Amino acid sequence: MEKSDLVELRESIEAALQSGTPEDYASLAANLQAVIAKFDEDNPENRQTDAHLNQAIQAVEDAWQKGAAPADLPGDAAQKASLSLLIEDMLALQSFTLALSRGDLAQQLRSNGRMAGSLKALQASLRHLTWQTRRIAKGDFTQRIDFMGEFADSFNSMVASLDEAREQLECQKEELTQANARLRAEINERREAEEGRRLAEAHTEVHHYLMKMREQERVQIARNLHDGPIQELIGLNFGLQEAALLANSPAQLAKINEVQEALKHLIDDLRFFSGELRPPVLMKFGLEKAIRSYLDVFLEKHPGLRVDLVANQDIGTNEERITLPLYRICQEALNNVVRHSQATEVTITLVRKNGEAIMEVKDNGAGFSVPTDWVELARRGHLGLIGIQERAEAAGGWVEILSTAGDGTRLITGIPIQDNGNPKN
Amino acid sequence: MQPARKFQFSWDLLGDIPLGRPNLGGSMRLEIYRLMQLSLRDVMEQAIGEEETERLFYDAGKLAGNQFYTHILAKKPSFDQFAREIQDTFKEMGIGVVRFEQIDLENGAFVLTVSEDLDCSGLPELGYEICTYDEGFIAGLLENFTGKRFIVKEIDCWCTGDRTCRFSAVAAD
Repeated sequence: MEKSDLVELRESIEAALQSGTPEDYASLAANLQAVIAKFDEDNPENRQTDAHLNQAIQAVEDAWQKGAAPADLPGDAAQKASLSLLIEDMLALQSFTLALSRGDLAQQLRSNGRMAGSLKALQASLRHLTWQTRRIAKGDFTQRIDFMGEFADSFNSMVASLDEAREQLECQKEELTQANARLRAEINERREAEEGRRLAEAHTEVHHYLMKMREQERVQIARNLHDGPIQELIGLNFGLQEAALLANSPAQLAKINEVQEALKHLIDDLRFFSGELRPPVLMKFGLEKAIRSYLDVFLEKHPGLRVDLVANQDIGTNEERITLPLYRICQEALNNVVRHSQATEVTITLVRKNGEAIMEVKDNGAGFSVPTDWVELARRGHLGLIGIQERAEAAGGWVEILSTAGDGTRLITGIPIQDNGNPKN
Repeated sequence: MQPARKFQFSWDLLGDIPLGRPNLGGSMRLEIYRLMQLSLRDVMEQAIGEEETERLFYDAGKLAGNQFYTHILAKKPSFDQFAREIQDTFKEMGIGVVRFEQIDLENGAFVLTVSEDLDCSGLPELGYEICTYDEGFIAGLLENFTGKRFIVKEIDCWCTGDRTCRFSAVAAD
């Protein structure tokens, strides 16, 4: 046996111990076998050593292949101890690798050497990954892995994607929160608006009811006037006519005629008031004719005033809920003109525009400074305008007064018309 | 103010490197760092013995860790961020690749590894751990962040045949 054979054998052993790979162990076993064979050729008397080496090889193979520690090892005490340590290291490596393969990262490997060191490095990387994954699970998306090759790139990409997805979710959550807040605000606004609308409707309904009651009272008063005092005054007039036939002197006759004339005026006045209280032609002939009819009587009482009614366009409805408020507002506006404005000309315009019946009463009178609100109007004693406002609101409409001192007044009112002629609410 | 001792450490002693090394810069070959540490270790061991040398290296590492924490690391509010900063800074400055395996703040128990370590990676297998300076350095960092005293021990080292250095840190109080 040559020295070179032993050197080669030693290198095989070193390689097997360092790398721990099956190939190196197989190479070691083959070299041992070759050395033994050569040793046997050179030293046929050393069959004992040959047997020991074979047993040692078998023990290493059993330990590597089967993970089993042989009960008895060949050789002297020192050889047995060395072989035992080698086999213990191999078994420890196997046990540690098996634990790693099952995901058990808690094991400790006490062996040293490249094989053990590499496995420990793998365990360290896996433990670090576990720790990092826990950090990520807790929301720390800054975790990154360095120097673990392709796995590090994939892991870091995954964390970056998770972070991006989390940010998107946060953005979406924020957007949803804001949208939710906007929806809540909108719901509240709508609820308040709905409440306001219901209150306005109720308010309008009450106004309308009150106006209706007022109209009914007016009709009743007009009927009472017509059936009672006016008829009685007419009867008195007939009585005076008969008395005139019985007059004894021209002076008596003149006096009776004078009383008769006064009585006629009184009857006319009462008929006018009765007519004002109940517009007899409104329901039958519509708003325009009712106003014209009213103007005939009104202008007889106010001959110095000129009133033009412009109604080029039919307002399209005879519904009393619309025409009656407009008629009453027209009456009140004309009374205001006579009482306050010193106007000589008035123009009344009736139009239908944007679903509303609109009436304007415009005079060339003294005008006045319009207060900013209706309460101020009431304080100044413009109760007629308050009544106009109430009538318009009761019909769901509006009133606007434009006036400046010395430049006349424009009173504009509009009442919504539904397709069926009812006012819009 | 004049220091009480001749070589009492202060960060200023590191000097103005851009001024002093406009061409060579702040880097040097790693062998030179190891040459200084291992030669120093040699003469110290001869002069005061192995045990005392180890103790002094641990203390020197701890002083360096304190200074590093004070002058290099930004102060982070959570341990996760602190750990992340150690990883980033160690990598950026070429000290090593730090990986945390276990962090138990409540009980003051940590396990971390340093691969490609400045002090030992690539050294011959000696059969014993040599990263005593690293142990002290890590102790300095942890003590500054937590306010607790730590005992750090290297349990795996390149020099014992391992591929990465593993350190266990346990709060002493």
